[in-house]
Amino acid sequence: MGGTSRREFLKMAVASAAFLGLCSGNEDIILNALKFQPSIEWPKPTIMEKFYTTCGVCHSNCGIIAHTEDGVIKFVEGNPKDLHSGGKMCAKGIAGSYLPYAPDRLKYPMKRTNPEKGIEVDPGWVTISWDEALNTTAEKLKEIKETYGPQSIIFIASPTGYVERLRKAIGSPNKITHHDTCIITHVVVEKFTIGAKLWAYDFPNSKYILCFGWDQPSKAKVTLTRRFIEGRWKGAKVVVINPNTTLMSSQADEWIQIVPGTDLAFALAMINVILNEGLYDKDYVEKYTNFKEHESEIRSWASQYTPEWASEITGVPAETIRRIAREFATIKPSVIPIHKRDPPGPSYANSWKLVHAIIILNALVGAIDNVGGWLFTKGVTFPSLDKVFPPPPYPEPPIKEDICGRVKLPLLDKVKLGIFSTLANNILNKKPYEVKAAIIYHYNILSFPNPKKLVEALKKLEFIVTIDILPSESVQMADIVLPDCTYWERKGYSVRIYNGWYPQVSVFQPVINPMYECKSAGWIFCELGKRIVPEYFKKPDGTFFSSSEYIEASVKQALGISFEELASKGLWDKPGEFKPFTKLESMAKAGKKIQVYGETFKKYGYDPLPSWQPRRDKPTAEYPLYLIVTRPPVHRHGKTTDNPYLLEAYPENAAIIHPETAKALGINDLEWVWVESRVGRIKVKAKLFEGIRKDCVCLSHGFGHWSRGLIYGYGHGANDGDLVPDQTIDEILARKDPTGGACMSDVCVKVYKA
Amino acid sequence: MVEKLSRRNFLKAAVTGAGLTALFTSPITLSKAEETVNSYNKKPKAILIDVRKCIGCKACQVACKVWNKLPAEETAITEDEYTNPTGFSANTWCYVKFSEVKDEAGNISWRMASVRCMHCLEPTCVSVCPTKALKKLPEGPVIYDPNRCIGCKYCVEACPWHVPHFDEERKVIGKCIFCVDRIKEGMVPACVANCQTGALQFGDRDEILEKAHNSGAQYIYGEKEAGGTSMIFVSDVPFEKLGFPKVPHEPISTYKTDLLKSISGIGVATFIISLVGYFGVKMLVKRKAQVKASSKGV
Repeated sequence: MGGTSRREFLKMAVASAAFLGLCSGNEDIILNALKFQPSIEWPKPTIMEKFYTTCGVCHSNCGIIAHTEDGVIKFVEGNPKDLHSGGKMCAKGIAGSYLPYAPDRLKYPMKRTNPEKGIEVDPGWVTISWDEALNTTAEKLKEIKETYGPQSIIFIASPTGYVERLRKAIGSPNKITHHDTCIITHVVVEKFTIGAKLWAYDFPNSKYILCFGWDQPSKAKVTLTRRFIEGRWKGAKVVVINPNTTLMSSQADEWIQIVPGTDLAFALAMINVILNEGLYDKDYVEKYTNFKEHESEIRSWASQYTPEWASEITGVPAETIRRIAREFATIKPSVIPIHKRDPPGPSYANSWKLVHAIIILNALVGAIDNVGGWLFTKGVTFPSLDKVFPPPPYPEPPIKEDICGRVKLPLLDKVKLGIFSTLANNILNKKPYEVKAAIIYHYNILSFPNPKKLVEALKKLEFIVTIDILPSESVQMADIVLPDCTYWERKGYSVRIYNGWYPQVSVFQPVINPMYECKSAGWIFCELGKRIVPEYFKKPDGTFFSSSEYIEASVKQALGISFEELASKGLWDKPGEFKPFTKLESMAKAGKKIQVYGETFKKYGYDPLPSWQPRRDKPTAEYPLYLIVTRPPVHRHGKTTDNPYLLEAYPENAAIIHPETAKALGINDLEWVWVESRVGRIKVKAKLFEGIRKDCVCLSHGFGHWSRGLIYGYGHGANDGDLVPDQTIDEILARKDPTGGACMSDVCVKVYKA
Repeated sequence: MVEKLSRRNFLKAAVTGAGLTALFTSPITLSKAEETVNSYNKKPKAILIDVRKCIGCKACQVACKVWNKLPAEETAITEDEYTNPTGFSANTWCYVKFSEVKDEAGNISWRMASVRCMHCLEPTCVSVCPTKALKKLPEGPVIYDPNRCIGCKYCVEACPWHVPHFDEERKVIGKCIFCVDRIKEGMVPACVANCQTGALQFGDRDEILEKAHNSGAQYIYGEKEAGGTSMIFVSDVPFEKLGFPKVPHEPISTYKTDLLKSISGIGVATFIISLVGYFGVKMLVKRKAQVKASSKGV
């Protein structure tokens, strides 16, 4: 290689350095210029160890390969053999390698010394030993159970086998889970119309993808998005119905800017057109659905929902609705996907009916269990904790009614999921009884509708124990805090459900030693169980079981291989080709059909057909704007908004508002504003955006941490949940919603300068 | 003020935490057979960036930070809802640039471009670097040697895309090095490795150019700009609408004179001193051009 000689180079360098140093008055530069070291052409290669494990950021649970150096996770990549992710990861998963090293994570068990609780109250944490933490918790819970009865203890906890074992053994009916804010409408309606929860879509073979707010590319969930993009770029026509321009609508061939919460009217008019014009798949419908048995009733029901009628409600021209209905029924394979908090999720009062209407539409075109359509999940059944280590008979709870009123919703009770929206009211009103203690695991109180009311409710409790990784808001309300492990530090497996091709199980390995004194939640619940209800945490031989033993035994029983073998492979799979109608055929043999006409709904006193029902809250003179809520692609709710890498990429949420609307309100871009609903107000910056409807305000979810423990997340943005009303069980019953949805976007707001 | 996060803090935390907890089962590493070994050739490499397929998930941006151990910066919502960080810095080598575009019907949509150092075929930054701290490798990467850097910032001024940035604290230039450490191990760059939609593809430049021409996209950027770059963008909307600068198709060499003038115009004394520097650099550049001319065809 030619170039300047070293002598010339030095001369040159000194000259340049001198001139620069003089210019800037910076001696360091001069000194640096004189300190020559041998040049490197390539950065040094790093030697890393690699491990198969699973990403625990969201429930997609993508198979990943962790790279470690001296026992520290340095990088993470997708496992190329993973069907779900195709070896790719999203930003959340990549930044997840930061989590175990978060300087603000919970490190030791702690107890509260300040009896006062609430927002901006310093709990006065004191570090304690595991023995003290577990013993105090056990003693306190035992005492409350003896004094007030087991129903006075509530479990605001992800219902794992250990959590459920402890709850049932104590005799508490209070299983409180987040599903009414997330997915309950899908689970209940699919369960009682199709018989199973469907999660996967065969997008690569679809020709027409119609999305009622389905927005996965904007959320970057790899499992769903990459196949959608594949289908879209193989030529599928994509139609997106959404009041706002999203990253997803930017991938659409056609974008329809609907009035929020009126998607049901659009779907009903599509059913009307498809039935009237005879565009449905007659063979499929007769063979696999109960359409024929109820045809006249269905036809007369559908006849009222003309495109002209729907046009009045949705703000979409009747001709557009008619054309979309025809395209959907004729450009096949076609499919309407749904996932979590889209309009069919528990976002609006009519969301459960929208799920039913979408099931009807997918059935009419033969999309369910078909090529290019909506697929049944093909998982593996792992034996439950109760199967592996059978418990003695559980005690009959003295009071069966739960604090949230779940038992008043029989279909919800059957799917064994819980609700959040009624908890605060019922604790405050002591209805149907008084709550004295709470075990909070995995859930943050910021995920509740109107969480400030929940803070008031939790203040009334005598004792709260929180099991968490980061010092979340749930931690700030606790009396005892138990530090949980991250997914990098524990054993486990994931059956994974966003997959319709063949079963594939992914392993969780403890890639690094648990940091500090953190323990896995399984270990924590077993230790609490030993101390509170010991006979329920024993093996047949009378010794206590461990969470590790359960994981090993269940892997052995379900897959016939050892945990170590699963760990060495990373993934266990049973490849098989997708054959359409397999599941429907087996259902038909058992005399079961897709309930286009909801016989089960009718039996329980609910609407058998998704008749039109408006959204709950409509714009008023006081609150003239619709609130719409979305999620940024780099965050998973509030769980990642303390991660500096992800905060850098999306640091705060803003009130997205149309420039004309803003102008009328005298609001400029990036100015601070209040967004106010009938239950609360939040302060955020306004972001003017022409892509949103003029009657809407959009907020991204996951922000507004008020826990000062979260050193990065604290104070970024505001929580949209503060605007969302909580509910009473009577409101839900009056709406005749079998799913108990929390109506997480069914609210109107006003915006004004702060 | 929130303390800035550094990888060193992670390490510190890791070391403090390790060894305190018993009950740990050793994890099992990948067997040698499971590790994929990729082949690697010395042909010039490139990245295809298909603006049409990008969904703005920012996996590339975050993967770049994590792989290269770059600290996260404090940001706030600014130009649009999504673009953050809003430009390159010594610690941000790759980011996703969001643009709102409007079609004839007035419909708004987003277009996203994952941007990083263009790794020009004839990089201006390299030609103005007086100490050869910046260097163009035959495989494409423009790499940087902090030990040779004197902090003159000529490269900062010279780059038409404003890529190199000087870190005033550490006195180093920060910019994308095309994951040269990964490429030479037969891996694709960290940003490309996690692109779930195929909007980013890595390969030999000639193959990438062919893909760009066959992509059906109307607009291509990077094939000829500044004499050609290693980043080949394709789009369905003109690049001006995505905020890309119009850059001449010839390699940029005329910049140098203007540049040095603008840097050195502070007072008479500095002017004289800067002349020394200016001629020094000019000599160097001239000599380099000679060397280059003589080594052509090798």
